[in-house]
Amino acid sequence: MTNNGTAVKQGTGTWTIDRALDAPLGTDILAGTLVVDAILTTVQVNVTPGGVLQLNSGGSRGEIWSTMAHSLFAGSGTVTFDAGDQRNGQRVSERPRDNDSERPEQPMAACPDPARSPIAVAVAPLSTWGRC
Amino acid sequence: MTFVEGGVLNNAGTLSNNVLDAPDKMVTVINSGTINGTVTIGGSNDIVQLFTGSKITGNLILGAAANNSTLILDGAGQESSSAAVVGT
Repeated sequence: MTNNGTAVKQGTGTWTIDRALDAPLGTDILAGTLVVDAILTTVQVNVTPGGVLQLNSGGSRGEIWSTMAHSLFAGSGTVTFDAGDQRNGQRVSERPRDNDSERPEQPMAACPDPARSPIAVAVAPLSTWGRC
Repeated sequence: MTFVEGGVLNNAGTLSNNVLDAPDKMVTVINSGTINGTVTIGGSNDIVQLFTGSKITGNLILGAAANNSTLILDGAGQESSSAAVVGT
């Protein structure tokens, strides 16, 4: 499957990307669930309210992050990290809140190699951030 | 089949043909059935909309000559990209 533009997920169903897919102009999740279980090459993923982005391990390679520069989540959109993608001691953790400094970090999923692909994850309106 | 002047192909049944287009025309391919063949469209603003349960037995090449194509994954239920496009 070759795509040189945008990928759009709409409709209530669930689509699983289980083969490498390019969407160089971006990926929009308007409704339903987009499961990424292979390398998704895209500059940005926009999850609109009601949409779900589920990031799985990327198969045996676990490199779905390698080319995803950053993701933006608007409103009540949901992003799910598959805990099976723990590797090399890397992880995404919840950012400690200002008044919650004693709260331990909670591992969620693996981070990318920052030298290869910095990733910033922001979830609004929740106050949690992903960081490595 | 070949788009000569652009247009829309909406396949809900079984189409046993390759789908091609003229690169300078806008084409939309909607598939909720089965296309036994390859879909190759490369014009500006081309759109391929795949519904759950659909299948393209060959390759899907969208936007080969342009970078503003749109791939829409639609429908209810579940589908994987490898099941929807058996080729590459």
